[in-house]
Amino acid sequence: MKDIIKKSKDYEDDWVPIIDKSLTRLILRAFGDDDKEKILRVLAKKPDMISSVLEICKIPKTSGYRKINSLIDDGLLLPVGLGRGVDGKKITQYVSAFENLQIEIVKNKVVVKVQIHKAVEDLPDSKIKDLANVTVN
Amino acid sequence: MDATNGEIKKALVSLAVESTLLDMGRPVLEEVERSLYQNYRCYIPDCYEHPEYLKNVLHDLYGASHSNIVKIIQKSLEEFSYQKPIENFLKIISE
Repeated sequence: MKDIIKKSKDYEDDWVPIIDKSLTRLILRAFGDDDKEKILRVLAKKPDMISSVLEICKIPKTSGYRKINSLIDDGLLLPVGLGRGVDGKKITQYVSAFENLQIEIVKNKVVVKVQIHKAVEDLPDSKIKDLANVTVN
Repeated sequence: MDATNGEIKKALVSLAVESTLLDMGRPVLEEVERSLYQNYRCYIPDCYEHPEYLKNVLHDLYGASHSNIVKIIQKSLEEFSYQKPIENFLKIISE
């Protein structure tokens, strides 16, 4: 994922074509799941806490956390900061790695293009690692 | 997001078909692509809307053993089969 984030700066229009087949498959399988797609679309707009996202998307907590963890493991959701829960506790906010997704189908070829989320682009690698250690709530 | 839910599903199905055929060998993929175009003037992604084209081509090229290819495609899309368009696609290619 870091490679794609770095590459995005090389493209004037910010659209990065995904060349790697396994990454294309990973992205399509995530967006092909109805719940994961809702989560990714909500978090493409702005960073938020996981509990709020599950509420907005009306996804049950048990399956919701499983899907969120899978998206985090795949690198499609990234921690970008801390928010405050109702009890004032610091809670990690997440954002979709991609602000936008385009699919081009020409003859037998399927090309997935992504725009990296601005909040992710501006985040140094070390910061991502530090924030990733904060408990998911 | 620019990509619609329909485009995502179409791309997902297309990739599942392509990967399955490619795993059997590039000549298999090329033969299916050629046959789809010759018979229906269509490409693999179009089979999402016309699964019967893929079914016919696989049957014509591989006879009874086409069901093995169908089973692999089904397995690869199994987790998405609760969605109506994908359920429909899988149902038609396996008829």
